[in-house]
Amino acid sequence: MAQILKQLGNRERVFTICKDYSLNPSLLTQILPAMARGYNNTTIAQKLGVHRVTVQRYTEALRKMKESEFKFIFAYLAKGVQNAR
Amino acid sequence: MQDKMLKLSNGKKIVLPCRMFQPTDLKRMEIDFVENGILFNRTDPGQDFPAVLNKTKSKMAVLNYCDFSTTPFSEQKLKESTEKQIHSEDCDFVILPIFKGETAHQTRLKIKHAEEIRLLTDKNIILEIPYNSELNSQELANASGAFDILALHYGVHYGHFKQLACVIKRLVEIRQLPINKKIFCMAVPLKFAGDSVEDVYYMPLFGLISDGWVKNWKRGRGPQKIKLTDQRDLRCKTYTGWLETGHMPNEILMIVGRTVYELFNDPDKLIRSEYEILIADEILSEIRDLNEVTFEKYVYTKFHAKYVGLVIRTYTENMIARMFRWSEVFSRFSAEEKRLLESEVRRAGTPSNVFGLIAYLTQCVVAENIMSVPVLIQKLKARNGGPTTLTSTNP
Repeated sequence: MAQILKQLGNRERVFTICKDYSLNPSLLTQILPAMARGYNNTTIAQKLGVHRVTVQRYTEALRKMKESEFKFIFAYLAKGVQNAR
Repeated sequence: MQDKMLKLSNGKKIVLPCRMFQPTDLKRMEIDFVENGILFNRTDPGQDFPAVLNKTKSKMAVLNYCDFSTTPFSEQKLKESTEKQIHSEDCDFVILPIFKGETAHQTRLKIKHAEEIRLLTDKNIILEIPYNSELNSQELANASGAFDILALHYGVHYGHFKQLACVIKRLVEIRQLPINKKIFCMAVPLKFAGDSVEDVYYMPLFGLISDGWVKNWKRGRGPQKIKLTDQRDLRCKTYTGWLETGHMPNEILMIVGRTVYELFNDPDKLIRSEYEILIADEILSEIRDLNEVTFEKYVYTKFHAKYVGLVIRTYTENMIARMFRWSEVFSRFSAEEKRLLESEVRRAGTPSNVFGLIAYLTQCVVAENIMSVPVLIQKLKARNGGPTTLTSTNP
């Protein structure tokens, strides 16, 4: 139970951070792994089928994020990918 | 919806459900291609197809579409068009497009022609029919050997409930047939009328109900007042409408870095058109990311109430077809056994419950190797909260 509550709390925090930076969590989930692989904005846009400027906005927002927020989101998404596997 | 891959006869792969991009879309998006997508390369009758870059060709499947939607039916023109496509190295499909006011008889002629070209090419054949075609669905099933993909032509730039219901009726009818064909929706609108024509909703719902779609290429008149899509409720509203729904004039829209006031009072329309392109990205990605569990909540909260039932029903039908009817796991069951199991699965009602029940059924068959249909039905009933013993219908 405590674990579920913790997960819900983490999810809530990710959503709050996304809201603060006007980011869409579902798009962020797709952009962040591609960014972590070192792809540039154009390549990410070509992989996801979105506007290059959209990817640019997300990568810039991620760069502007406080380190603690970025680490939190990255860890949360990495965990999500692990669970999906 | 879970991504699926469609492997074309030439080895290219397409991720489904896919949006078909027009060259102008790619230009606006400032990219040369979308990996594993379809390029919708349109031209008018009698004109050459726009040239496609080699890198685009290598990463995308190309659909060369000659637009006969304003030309009356002509067998000669159809033959010329398909012949070009068969011999062209620049396209990966052969499409038999719709003609102006196409009748059921003309569609039958197209099917006959598709049967002939089937022997001449390995390319995937797309048969396009009008969404309100009078051709019986059973006839389509009988002729299904002639084509690989069925395309329903919608052909409007602004959707209404009645027409959409007609498209969806045809879509569900085809899904119910014993043919496993992919269905594309062509020339679809992204905006639909809500309570009135003035009440506009941005609902790109074709990714949820079909295997592929392309936005209508013909432009409408456009609204007389300036209207912009609000991501919160997917409604296209005027400036007053934005303020009425809780936005402030000085609220900064991070997507374009401008305030609501600046956006509506932009004299050269550039920022507004950029905003519309970027907001479409956000909404389309959000919809693409929906799955069987999250889908329902999204549709209930964002779509206009009168469309919700239609969309949910079609989504559930697609899910049953994909995960149950055409799944390898259940191929060992006879048609009658499948019908019994399917009717039990359908009792679950909501998409997430249907999904859960099919997943449970798959587990019972694969992991526990249960092949007895009465036992499986009993298990499904127990899972569904119904009576766990088989009861006779006789008193």
